[in-house]
Amino acid sequence: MKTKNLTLSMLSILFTTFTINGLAQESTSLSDAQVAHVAVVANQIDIEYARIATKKSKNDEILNFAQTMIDDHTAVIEQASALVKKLKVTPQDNAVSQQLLKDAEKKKIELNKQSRKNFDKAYVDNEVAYHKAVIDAIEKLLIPETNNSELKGLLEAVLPALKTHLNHAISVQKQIGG
Amino acid sequence: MKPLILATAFLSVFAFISCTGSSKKGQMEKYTPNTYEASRNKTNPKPKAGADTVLIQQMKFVPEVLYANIGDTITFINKDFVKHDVTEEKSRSWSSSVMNYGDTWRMVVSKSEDYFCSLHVVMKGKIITKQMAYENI
Repeated sequence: MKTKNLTLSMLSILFTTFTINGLAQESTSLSDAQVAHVAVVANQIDIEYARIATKKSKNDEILNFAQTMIDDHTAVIEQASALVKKLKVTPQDNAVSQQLLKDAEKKKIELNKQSRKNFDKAYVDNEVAYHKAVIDAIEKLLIPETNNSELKGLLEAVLPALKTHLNHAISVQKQIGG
Repeated sequence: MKPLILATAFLSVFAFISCTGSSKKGQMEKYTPNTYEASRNKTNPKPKAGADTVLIQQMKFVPEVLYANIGDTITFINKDFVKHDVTEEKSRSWSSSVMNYGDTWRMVVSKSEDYFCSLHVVMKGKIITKQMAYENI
């Protein structure tokens, strides 16, 4: 019960734009198969944001950053896929993954609607916020919920890359006058 | 008669030198295998003495600041599963081009350098030539 409340309050902090009524009806304690699913979904979402940027931006710094997001998050998904295969775990859909996807759908519509002039700032602002939220979620929710040491190890190994992405996004944000 | 003796003496001295020379070399190689994981990469020759290694791991150049002599060979090894490169920072005057996991790249030091990873622009490193370091003291 305590874990459940903690997890829910964590989620409400991380994804404040959404109601968590749906989550309250289910157990939010995650199995390793669910953690793996969340990890893959979280990476896919950032690749999709980056694909929008490669279509809409003309700014070299943004385009370079977006390509790095596509390459790095693809590499993380490959690592995660190889690991779940090795562990014979099938990633399992769950409330946290669904929440992330719902949030991302709205954000993608928002980004696609942006004028070319405003897109760069909207994209990089979202990258800063998204990486902050994902780093927080991995440190405070996913790592503590993971039992398998190799899966935990992979999540820990991904953190330095995410923190570098965050600093990279902040530096681009400053450059474009965000 | 005399030249023959001289030649023999010369040869034996030479043999002695090359003997000690090679045994020293053997000792040095005993120290190196753990230092240079690059030896895995068979396409590159082993670095010579006066060489140093910078690991690219967990999104950092390790060490971030390397003191080297002009003429030293620096080996960069990418230990991360994401791609990196090693690129001169100010004007991109040189670059390793993209390095995948396990790739190594070597450069010979000609002067102090500020470099970065152009894929992750906040990842930075420095090579400072020892000559330069002394001048600044």
